[in-house]
Amino acid sequence: MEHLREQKERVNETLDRYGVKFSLYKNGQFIEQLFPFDAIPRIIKAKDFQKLEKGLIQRSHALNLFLNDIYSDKGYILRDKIVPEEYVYNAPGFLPECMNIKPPQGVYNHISGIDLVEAPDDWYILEDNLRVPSGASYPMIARDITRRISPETFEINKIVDNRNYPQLLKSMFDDVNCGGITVVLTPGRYNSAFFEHSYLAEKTGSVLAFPEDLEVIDSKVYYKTFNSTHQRVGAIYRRVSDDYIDPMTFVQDSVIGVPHLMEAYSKGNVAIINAPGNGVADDKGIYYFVPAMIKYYLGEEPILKNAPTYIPYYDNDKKYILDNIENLVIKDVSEAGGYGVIFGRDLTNEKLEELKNIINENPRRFIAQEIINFLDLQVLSDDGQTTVPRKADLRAFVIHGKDVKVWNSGLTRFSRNPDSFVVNSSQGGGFKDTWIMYQ
Amino acid sequence: MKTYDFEFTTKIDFSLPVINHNFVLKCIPHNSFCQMIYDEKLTVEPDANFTTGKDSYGNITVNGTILPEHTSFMFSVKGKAGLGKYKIMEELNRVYLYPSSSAKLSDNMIAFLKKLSIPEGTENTVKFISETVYNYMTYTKGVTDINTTAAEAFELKQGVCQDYAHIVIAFLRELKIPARYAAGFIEGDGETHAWVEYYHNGAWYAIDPTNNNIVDYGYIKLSQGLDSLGCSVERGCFVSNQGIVNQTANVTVKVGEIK
Repeated sequence: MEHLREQKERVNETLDRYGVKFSLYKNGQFIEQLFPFDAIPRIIKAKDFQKLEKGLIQRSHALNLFLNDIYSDKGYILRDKIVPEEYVYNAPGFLPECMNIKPPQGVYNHISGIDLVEAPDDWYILEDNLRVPSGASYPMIARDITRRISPETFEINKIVDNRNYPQLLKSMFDDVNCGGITVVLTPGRYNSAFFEHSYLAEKTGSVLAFPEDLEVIDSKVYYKTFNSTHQRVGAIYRRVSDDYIDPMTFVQDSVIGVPHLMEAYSKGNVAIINAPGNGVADDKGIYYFVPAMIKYYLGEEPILKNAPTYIPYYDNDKKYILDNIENLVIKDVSEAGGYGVIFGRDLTNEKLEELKNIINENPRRFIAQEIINFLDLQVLSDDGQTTVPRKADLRAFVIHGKDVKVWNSGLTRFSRNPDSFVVNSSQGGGFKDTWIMYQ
Repeated sequence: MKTYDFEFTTKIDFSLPVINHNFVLKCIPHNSFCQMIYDEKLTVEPDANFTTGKDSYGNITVNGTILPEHTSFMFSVKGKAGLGKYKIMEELNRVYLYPSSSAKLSDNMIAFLKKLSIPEGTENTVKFISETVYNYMTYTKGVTDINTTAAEAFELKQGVCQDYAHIVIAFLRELKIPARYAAGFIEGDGETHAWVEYYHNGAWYAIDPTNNNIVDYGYIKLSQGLDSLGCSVERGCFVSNQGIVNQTANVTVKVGEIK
């Protein structure tokens, strides 16, 4: 216990010194929060992780094939009515500007952050994050510091080394690079994840670039160095969202973008990591169809389960939702970050009726899920004297270059309050290291 | 086949000097089943480095940058266009069946559409919707701008060709007729124009709701897209160190049939 307390303090001190904070907007206010470390790790046995690994690789493959399919002029999965067209073409994440652009090596989801929870019977996928999934640096730092403080922990316990994340990234960067250096593009030091941007750039041997450092000349991207020479850029690990990456194509008054970047990209002169337009595949409405995608593209049964999900688009599902609403969690598919999550059981009868009406009127806007009673993990109490149970999830990182690999670790997030099922970092909470064991 | 001479010039004056000016132009008509472009010539002033490319709708893009200080920007395209009867045979991209940012129905538009008795058959429906919108709207310049949506123009009951086109497109898509936005120029107009393409029996045909006519000859197309946002003739961003810059644009279009 003493040891754990010390680890917790040292990791949190280091995070604080590095300024690793999580910023969020809430009720129109900008709040900076610590994302505190808890020293008791999540432990995953080899056998369990092998299954997760297979399932995550399968899922990442299927999602990539889906993105290739719908942004080509073919759209086979739509023609075959496996996924209804309107779920794709009406999705806010579908970017018509990306139609007919083939990304280098055909890879869209270079880095997937796939969120899972463990229930008594099995693991369940909660959501796929294919845009700019963040958070890998937290367990990296935590592991680094705990190894220093208590090296013996890592001798006694047979834990798979997770310090290869930068190498996984680097080798993926090299796989998709179109000739030139790789840069990590950050919107700037006021971004909530700026620390992670600079950390990953350093660890992968890439150049940390601010938007004004990049320039497009003759459809190629260049990095402007201090002595004003230009270095060709072949891959951009961008930590800027789609809307802002190129003012000539997307939001016109973006000052954190690179003008003409999309033109260089469409001509195959630079890889954008992750590819623009991925938002359509991690849409909460599309999530429902991922198991069907796996069957359709790969001819395989899904290895990992989705949480049981219903979409009011289908009449049977709609009836089920309206009949069982007090037992379900309703998610607004147009919202991200956990704000649009409603637990039926928390609502008064009057509010429930209101919600039913809204669902009836906007069937496309919601999905409903069974509440998964996922397992508690033990967390050190604030005074460090005892442990308390908290709900926790796991964000697994899947790296897709020439082949697909799962990082032997992940970000385990736990909820701040004892009765909360919401573990998003944007809702306040903390994180743990994730130990994958050799046995 | 009819042949036309065209010349299209845009001159933008800035109230203060600008630098680091990036631009994308969709000002060069492309070849299609019914449109052959030749002898085309593009001029850009001040002198700029530019490349040409293609956007996701198949339009030709001119992508350039002018770094030094300047107070005006001019581009001009001239050439000849051989036009067949308006019909573009191609496979349908089904994205054109779904609402887009600027061509989306509002509740009022849905209510309006429900009250109409729409005739059978795609061509009859298209003609009817175009005529309905033509009668509903009043052509007025200056009340709408490039960001006005179909729903906003519908409330105003006023607008220009762009707004007529957006409203018709939104209605047609709701009626399961694929529809897209087309920008270009027509004989004797003096400025750029917009009309609607609809998909029927394996090809795109066009209707011009602003003039309430079926399009056959004399429409030179610059670009196509889900709505006007994909068809901006000029899009730019620049920096000024001296204050807020006002822009005034002067557009001239000359189209004449060569007989």
